[in-house]
Amino acid sequence: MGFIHCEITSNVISPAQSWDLLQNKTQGAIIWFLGNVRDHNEGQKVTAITYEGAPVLGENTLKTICEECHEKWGPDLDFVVVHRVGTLSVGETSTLIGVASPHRVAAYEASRYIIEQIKLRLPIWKKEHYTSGEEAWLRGNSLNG
Amino acid sequence: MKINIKLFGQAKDYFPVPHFEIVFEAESVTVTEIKRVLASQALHPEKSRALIEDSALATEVRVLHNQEQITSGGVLFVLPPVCGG
Repeated sequence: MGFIHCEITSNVISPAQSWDLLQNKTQGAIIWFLGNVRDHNEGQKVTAITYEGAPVLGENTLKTICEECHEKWGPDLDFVVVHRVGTLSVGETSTLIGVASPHRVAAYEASRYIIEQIKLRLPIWKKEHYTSGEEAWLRGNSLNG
Repeated sequence: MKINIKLFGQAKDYFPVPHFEIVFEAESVTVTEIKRVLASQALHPEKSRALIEDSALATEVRVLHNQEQITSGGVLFVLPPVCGG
């Protein structure tokens, strides 16, 4: 079974530190995805985003998503998934996803699956801070069921 | 039965404090019932109703279904709609 590393952290995300986790001679393709804080949203100028999360529940959710990838694209994929919490300025990285696979198609597809599931299922909440001084929680996807 | 509530995200805007306790006389309550009590204790019950309805309850390790019975006290998280990434 492939390697899974999932983390909810208040530390700065370092792609360099994650890099070595996916170095494996059996893997022919490695995809890295970084999600960064952008300077605008829905017509507002954004200065920062505060990310709040439930760490243990969040890491369990990330692990479950990676296990779903093993079922969909094979058990030999390796994953590093890190989501940051705290207040991040524009340009800082909130999300890092690394997928290593023997073949490129599975790596691309699994990486896309993980970020889409993060947006739908990960217990993270975002409050945007604007140049006007105002701030607002962003709408999200209900886990109610 | 004592349940310690921990609020996340915008749910915190509807209560005076982000952590508090709810005491139930019954030995077992459903998630739906806990959410009903939460809505009744919110600062603005009318405004908060939709958010509480859309929120899920969870333990520290998993999200609960509305029909689940809670039979022991402990900490429950209130999870408003999520938006990771």
